[in-house]
Amino acid sequence: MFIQIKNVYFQYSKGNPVIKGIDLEIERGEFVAIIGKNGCGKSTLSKLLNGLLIPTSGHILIDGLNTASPSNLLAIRKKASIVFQNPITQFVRTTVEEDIAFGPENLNVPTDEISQLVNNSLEFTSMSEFRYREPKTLSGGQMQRTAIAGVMAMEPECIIFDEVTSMLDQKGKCEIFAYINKLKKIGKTIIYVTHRIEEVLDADRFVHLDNGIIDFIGTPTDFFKLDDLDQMGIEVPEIVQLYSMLYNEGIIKQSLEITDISRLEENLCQLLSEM
Amino acid sequence: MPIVVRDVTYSYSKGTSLENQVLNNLTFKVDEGKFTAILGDTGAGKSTLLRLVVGLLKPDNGTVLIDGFDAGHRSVKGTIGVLFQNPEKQLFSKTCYEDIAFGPLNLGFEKEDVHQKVLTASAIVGFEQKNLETSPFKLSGGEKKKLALAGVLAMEPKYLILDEPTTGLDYCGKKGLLSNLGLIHSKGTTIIMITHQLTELLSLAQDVLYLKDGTIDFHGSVQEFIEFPSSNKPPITHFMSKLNEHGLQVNQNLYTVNEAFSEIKSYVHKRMKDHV
Repeated sequence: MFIQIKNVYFQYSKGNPVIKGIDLEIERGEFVAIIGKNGCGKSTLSKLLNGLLIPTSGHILIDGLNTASPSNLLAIRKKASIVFQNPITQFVRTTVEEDIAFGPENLNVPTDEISQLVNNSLEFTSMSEFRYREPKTLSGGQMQRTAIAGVMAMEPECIIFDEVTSMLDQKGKCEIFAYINKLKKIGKTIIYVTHRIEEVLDADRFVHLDNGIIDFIGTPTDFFKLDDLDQMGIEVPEIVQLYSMLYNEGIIKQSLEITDISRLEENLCQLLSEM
Repeated sequence: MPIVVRDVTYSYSKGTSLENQVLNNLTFKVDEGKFTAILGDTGAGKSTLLRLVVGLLKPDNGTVLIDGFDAGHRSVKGTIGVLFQNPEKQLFSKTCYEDIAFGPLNLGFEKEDVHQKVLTASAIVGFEQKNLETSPFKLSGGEKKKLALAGVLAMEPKYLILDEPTTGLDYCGKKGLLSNLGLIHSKGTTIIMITHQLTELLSLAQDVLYLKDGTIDFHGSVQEFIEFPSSNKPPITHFMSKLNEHGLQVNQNLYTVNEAFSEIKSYVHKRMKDHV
């Protein structure tokens, strides 16, 4: 098992516990979406996963390495890297390409390999034309792509995405999703933290957090079968809502897969045009 | 005319080799009491435009006038409230309470009034009372956003300028915030809001300003925007035009789930009748 979370509790100093007893195992190559409302502990959990925070009790193993042991931290961060919600907090250099090089430099990668890694990352994220720009002069979406390129250059096995699309428009989001799919195909483990369900319909598993505990682990299709989604504060994608209304009205009689919006749209168009 | 932008051009790093023109010869007006949505792709110049309107940037050419004064002029400062994309930029106090109170205190309100304004503003954005005494920097991303907005609303600005206020908020937070923005607008506040969340916004806004590569591609009413052949369509509108491509003659210019449901339902019923 690549990631093992065993009975983990966490509280910030003086505060109430934020994570209240979590057990979760994630396999290598899995795409896991961690979903839940603001303040439910999603971002805290992602910081626990690469040792930025240490559990108050219980333990987390990344490829067998305990995050609580300081001597493991460098090895853990080579294995699992985070891209944060707000990209501006993770820039340290004055140009995009230098910023991307920062990670591998600190991992003692030889210089000629670094330039190769930087070029690959720039190309992957379509940021090559901005390589000499100062990251802070970029738009929100371009900044986020730079941050992702920076993480990629360290070639981690697992990438944790913490609400990374919150500053992107639809076009920017699509680029990021295409990129995440690519990462999944080459076998990277992906942990994607979000409250926007429509971004993660194709995840292998949903983990729903509510007030510091896990109250659902399962496939997206099973998740949409839950009948209290509205009370859970889950925003169901509009096309899925429309499909449910047409289904309940008896206009659409077939039960359709809802793990891919464009396929669902295509199926709905097909069924409606055949009437 | 409260907000007038005339022939505005703006470049970052002007006069250097990195010069980057973001806005090119923009002209538009916003009437008092209007709710205007600014739409456009990442990098289209939306946030730059907002910074010019609030006077944080000066245009290279052209003018930005607020109530007849240059943007950034002393006499308009208390009238404009602005919420930036990144809420951390506008939080600085030791407690959340102090952060919300900062604005009204500096506008010279009495302590009791300020207290009332803090409570009202935090209720409007749905900020939890129990968090008022904690540090702003211990809050989650979504809570920080609510706090920053509460700080702006506590000053009761005449113009409310919002850069992506719903990003980072969950479903409940977003729904609550948007309905409260509707309320604030109905009481006469002029609102300019940048967003990517088309559907929710179109039910609130009156005007849409669509930016493309630093120029205005479209400026008009919401209904006109839905019919405008831009690439940026709400999901339901997109789906309805797809149905048309499949030969279903349904109204394409809809953007809510309920409208689409009624339209499809009546279309199917009509088709069935015709068959009989």
